[in-house]
Amino acid sequence: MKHLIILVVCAGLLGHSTHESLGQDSEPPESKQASPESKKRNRGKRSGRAAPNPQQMLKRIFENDRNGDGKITRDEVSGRMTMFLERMDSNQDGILTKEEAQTGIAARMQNPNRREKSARGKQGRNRNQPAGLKVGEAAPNFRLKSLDGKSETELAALRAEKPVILFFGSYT
Amino acid sequence: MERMYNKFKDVADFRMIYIREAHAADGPRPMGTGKSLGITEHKNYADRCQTAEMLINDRSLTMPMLIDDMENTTNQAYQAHPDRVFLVRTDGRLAVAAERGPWGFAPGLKAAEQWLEAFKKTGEEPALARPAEQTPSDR
Repeated sequence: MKHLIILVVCAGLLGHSTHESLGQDSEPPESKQASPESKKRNRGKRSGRAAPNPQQMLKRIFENDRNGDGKITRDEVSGRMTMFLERMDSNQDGILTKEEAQTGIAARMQNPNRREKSARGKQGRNRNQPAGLKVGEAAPNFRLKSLDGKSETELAALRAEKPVILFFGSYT
Repeated sequence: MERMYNKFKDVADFRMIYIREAHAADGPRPMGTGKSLGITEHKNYADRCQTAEMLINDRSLTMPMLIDDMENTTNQAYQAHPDRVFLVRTDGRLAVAAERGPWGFAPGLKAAEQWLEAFKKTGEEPALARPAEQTPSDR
């Protein structure tokens, strides 16, 4: 979208200042490269689905509210919807209220590029972090001190005896 | 968590690992308990131990707790921030690796509980749902 606007502005300026420099020579290289792509991207987005309005989005989200308490909780959604709601849960308490949903929708409407970034998944925010651990993968070993500082625990030693449950967390 | 601990502590080891604050009052996301309690980002190991102790006392936790180092090594290795549940089998592989955050915690607990029930009943570790060969490095 941004590239399109730059393109239009450039074209407008060129049109006003000179008559000869029509066409692609005078345009800055970035918009030249980006414009066919962004046009393609936007065209695809527009033809794919109608631009959702906030009311419709809110309604769609709250169709998942099975117990009708005005909030969406983890057990009411599944799959990709979970990821979607997790992003809008601003205080990260596992509950999505109508206010959080409205704020989240408004933010997305203002910044449509955000949608693309999150759709790319790992290439977005989490680019620099190692791949998430999955079931079946080896648990990374560690050696940490206990709270009283008197003993050290190594995962490899623990789990050789019994399976180990790990809860990661903090106070807040 | 405590309930699960008390139920299964004879068959499995439970450890809480205290990592960096999820909602520190001076951190990037101060909403949540951090702001109201004035819990700020840990400046040193002693700080972190202190907040961990506060958690134990306030919630009456009996589970053994380990403290992650100030380089957040374990947190990074496990991608655990802000909360996460894991179950490590005796062969070292993960039987449960929940999604991060509050959305993944409850299902993670449930999966762990189911695994432990089966383990306690049969004395054998349940087989992994997916074959171990399908690690990301193979793809």
